[in-house]
Amino acid sequence: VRLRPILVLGVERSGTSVVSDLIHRWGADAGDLSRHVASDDHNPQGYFEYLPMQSFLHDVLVSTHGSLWDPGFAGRMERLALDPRYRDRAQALIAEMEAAGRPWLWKDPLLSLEMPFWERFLPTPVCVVTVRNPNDSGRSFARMNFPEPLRRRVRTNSYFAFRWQFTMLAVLDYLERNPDHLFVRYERLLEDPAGQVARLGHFLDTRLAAGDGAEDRLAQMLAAVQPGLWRNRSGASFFDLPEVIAEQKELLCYLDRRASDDPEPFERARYPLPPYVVEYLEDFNLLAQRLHRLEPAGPDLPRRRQRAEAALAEA
Amino acid sequence: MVEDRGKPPGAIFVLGADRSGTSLVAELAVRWGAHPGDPARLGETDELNPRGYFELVPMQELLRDLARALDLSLWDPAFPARVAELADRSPWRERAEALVADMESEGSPWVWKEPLLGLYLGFWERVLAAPPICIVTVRRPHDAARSFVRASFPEEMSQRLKLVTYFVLRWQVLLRATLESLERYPAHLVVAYESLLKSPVQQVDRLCRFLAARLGSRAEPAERLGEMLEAIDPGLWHHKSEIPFCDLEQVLAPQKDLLGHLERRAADQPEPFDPARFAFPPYYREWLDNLDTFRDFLAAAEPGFRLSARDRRRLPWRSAEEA
Repeated sequence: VRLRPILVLGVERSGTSVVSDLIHRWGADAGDLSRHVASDDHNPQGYFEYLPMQSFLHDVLVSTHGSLWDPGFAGRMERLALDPRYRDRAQALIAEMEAAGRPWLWKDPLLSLEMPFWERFLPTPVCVVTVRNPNDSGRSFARMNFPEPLRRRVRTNSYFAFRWQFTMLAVLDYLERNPDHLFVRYERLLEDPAGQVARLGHFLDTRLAAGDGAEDRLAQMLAAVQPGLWRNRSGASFFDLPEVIAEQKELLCYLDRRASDDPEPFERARYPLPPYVVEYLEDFNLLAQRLHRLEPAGPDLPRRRQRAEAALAEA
Repeated sequence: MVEDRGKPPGAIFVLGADRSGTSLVAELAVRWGAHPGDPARLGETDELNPRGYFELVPMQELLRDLARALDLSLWDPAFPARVAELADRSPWRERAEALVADMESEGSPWVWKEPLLGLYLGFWERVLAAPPICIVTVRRPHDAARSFVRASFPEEMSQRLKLVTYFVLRWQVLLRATLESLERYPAHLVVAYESLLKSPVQQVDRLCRFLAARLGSRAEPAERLGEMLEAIDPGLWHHKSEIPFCDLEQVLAPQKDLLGHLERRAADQPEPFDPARFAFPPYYREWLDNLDTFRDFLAAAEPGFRLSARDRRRLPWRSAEEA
């Protein structure tokens, strides 16, 4: 078995946790499970987010002294990777994961945007990318991040569609440089667990040269798929939402085809972000964070960050 | 209609987006001879508008109550038409007529100013005996945006928030609704804030001539002009961006086109108004509603930040603090 890392990429609330669970059950090491973000009502089977890695991702983000959404963010990430303070911490984290002597797994939504940093340290990761109806992810995101009564008033269809588009374009940019990846459609996974789990298992087996026991691994993996946890289904098609722009609809179609193993080339110019997006995301986040007394990464991160800090302090 | 008492003395509405010179133009109208209502009910002054906003409190309260009665976002495209329907219903009609009667009781032209009035023109059209004479201010929206952010958030937040896209959408909605209504009112004038401060004599004279032609003279021309010119203090012209509006990356083509359209009208170059040219982007309502919501909740939660009395009067729902 090769010691390669497996990274789960995708926007928040798009099935990254369940896919991480599957990969963990397949046999990847996810780090010391007692140092993972604790499960909660939103993710009863766990987040599979390794706190030391998450804490470091957050520090990297803060150290860029800029917005996550700024077009210059990727360049700042690349420069930061040359800084010995961050390089040493990154390498120490990787060494910690490699100590188990088997393929290992990292998942965090922020990873999708921080790949320009990690590319320098992880030259050949295997990537699994989740795709879900962004409208459903957005509903779940709002439910998780905005308490009542704010949730009843704040609208997130456009906000989350832009956040999703921005994240997925960053992922697709990165995957142009890394052919070892698989797209998994969340809805298909829950509708056809056996088929999709077999597909994922086969992908991992071939990429990581796993040995015998494929059937046992698949059985273990299948047990993780709980259709009862498929929540926040809006019933509305993403394509019918008035806030969704044509480029976003086209991007979802493209990702859907990739999740059907259509090896269509990625042409970024087909999915341009409108010129106002960065300002909307930044202003929205700033206001939302202020309301939550949050930190500068996104409405969801501070809550996790708090959890991370609390757990690390206990450890 | 409030027409039975003989020919009404004439209403002037000053319209335009927030922080675009509407207070200054309202003051000019007052100095010209229009009365703004009971001075004790003109709201507060503050450091951003040291000479006042010239907004009649009972009028603002009526607008707020109308919006609350509809339970509809101000930024819903249906708002202007829906609120206009309330003009035929009790108690709104009685409240509106009482306000107008009070303004007309002086027997002279009167002036109302409130940026949100642009969304309510259909309502007032059904109440007033004759359409109002409208003066629309236009200012480079990104300059007005800086002023708006400073007026709307605590200092430390206003330095970090950009809100150009937000404000430009707000400006676009207000101005487009205003221009749509003005298609029915021939008596209107568009005034460019920048021209007013750069060429006060010329612009004040233009304004005087416009008002005199519609409402008759209120005083000797020279005396009137002098009084009006005293109101213009170029020192109060803050937030001048070096970057032209058309060069801003986050501004959309229909928004640039709208500013061009307004500037041509302010230069007395008549141009037909076609709302289809100034279409809104799909996210506009969400951002406009969200900003109002965030600001409302922040005011309830943030130590040292409270909505001003003026803000609370204009909020189309019970504030989070009240709730």
